[in-house]
Amino acid sequence: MFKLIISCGLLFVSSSLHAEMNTKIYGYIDGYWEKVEDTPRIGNSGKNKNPSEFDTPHVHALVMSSKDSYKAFFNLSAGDQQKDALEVRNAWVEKELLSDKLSFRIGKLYRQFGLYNEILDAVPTYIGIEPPEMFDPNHLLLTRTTNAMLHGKTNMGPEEQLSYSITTGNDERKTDAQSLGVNVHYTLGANWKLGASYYTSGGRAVSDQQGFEKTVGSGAVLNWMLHDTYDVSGVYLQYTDAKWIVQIESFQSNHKAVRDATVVTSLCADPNVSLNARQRARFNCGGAVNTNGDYQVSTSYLRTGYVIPLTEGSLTPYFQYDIYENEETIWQTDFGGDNEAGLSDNGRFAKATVGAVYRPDFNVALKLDYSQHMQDVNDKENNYGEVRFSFSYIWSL
Amino acid sequence: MKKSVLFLLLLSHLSFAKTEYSVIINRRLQMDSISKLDLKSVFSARKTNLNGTKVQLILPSATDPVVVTFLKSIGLSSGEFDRIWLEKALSGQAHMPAKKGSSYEVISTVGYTLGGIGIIPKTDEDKMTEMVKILDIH
Repeated sequence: MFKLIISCGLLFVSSSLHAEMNTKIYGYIDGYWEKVEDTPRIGNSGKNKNPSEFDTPHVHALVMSSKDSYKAFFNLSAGDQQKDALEVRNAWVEKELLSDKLSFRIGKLYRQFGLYNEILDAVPTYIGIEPPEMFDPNHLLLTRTTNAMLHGKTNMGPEEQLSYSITTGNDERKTDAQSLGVNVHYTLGANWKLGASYYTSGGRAVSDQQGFEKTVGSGAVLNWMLHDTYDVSGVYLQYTDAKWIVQIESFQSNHKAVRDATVVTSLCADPNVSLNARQRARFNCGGAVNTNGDYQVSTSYLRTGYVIPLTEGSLTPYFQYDIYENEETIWQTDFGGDNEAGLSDNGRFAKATVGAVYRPDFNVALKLDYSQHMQDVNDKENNYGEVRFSFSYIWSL
Repeated sequence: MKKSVLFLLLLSHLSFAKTEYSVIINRRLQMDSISKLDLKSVFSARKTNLNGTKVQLILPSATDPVVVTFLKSIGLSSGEFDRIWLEKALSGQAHMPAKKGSSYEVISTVGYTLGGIGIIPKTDEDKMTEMVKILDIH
């Protein structure tokens, strides 16, 4: 945290020295509390106790500077998830090549992908506390960051606009793979946005947490894969006006993967690893490991909110419904699992959330919601609930 | 009774006059008029250049009655406006509109910002300097 404050101070001083540049510093802090009901276990009818937890998942300082056709952006994070270490989430420079129509960005950047990838850190601005399941860090569809992007937008009519981007970077590549991401969306007025995203690993990819007894990696490749060649594709639709926010996304990924027999043997043999019958059969535990790790992931969600203006600020009740299916992942995150799909008998779960955001002012958001996780565990429907509260504040210099 | 009606009419006229707005721009932008559609595109961050110059919005405050009236006239609520620009700023896509405490500050900031575009109450047009001009909306 101390490093974050010092960095902000230095950046502010440097921005003051260059008055001809337009440099702004933004930041936000998100205090968070959650209580998860007792959760089912694989293999027996016992339940895991989950104490309530306080967290500061989002402590961000953002610096944006622009001059003429150049722009630079930092996104520094010091949330609890990084154990108070300073993490550079984004650091990029950009050059406008052809006005709004084409710009080139390079560094460490969030790719344009679906509705949320670029804005996921900006928690105070959206409805809901948790990201859609496709951006849950325990089962990402792809890495959130990449290294280079060409992007732009062009008018297609008085109110219609087409935005486009292509991205590439190191991502999770093993050797000479070259990833490619494409995103296109069409906006009609300030209300409608319709888009599609596609990504290919462009060859063999590996997890940055490859191996046994490792936590989940930063991309889509599971820890027990020797390598994985995969693609992700999907579509999204958003409608917003002064009252309504409606968002729908649906994505699917196809993995051509090869399992690491040594790691899978350890997963099968270790008594601390809980695998259900379907997972043991997929891995062929007890026999020669099945190294064919081809699988698919699919996920969809609906999010909707209705803004009620108040004398001071606004109240936005919201509803969200997520579906996620991944037949390959396992339960425990300590071994690279996702704690959700890997817990269920068939690798599938749904999550329904109701909640509300109260915004007394544009820079403050208080959110409270409840989610019900629905899945089959040990051959029966085994649901559990979760309550969350988040209080975020945005500031700027 | 008659006096009360007159008083109410006068009051509503005064409050209407207070929320009438003028859109001002930096004179170097070399524009005389803009369509409501283009204005909406600029204020909803879909259009970031005017005449090849990067636009910078300069406002009293998104909750100022003049700005609320202006935003309503182009089909945006102040909540939508705040959400759009916060999203853009926090993801590095655009700067937040600069917020100024008075019409004097809006006028002077627009005056020294190439690409500056601002909103002031119509009643403050007499405070304008030669660095800025009023944009006709059609």
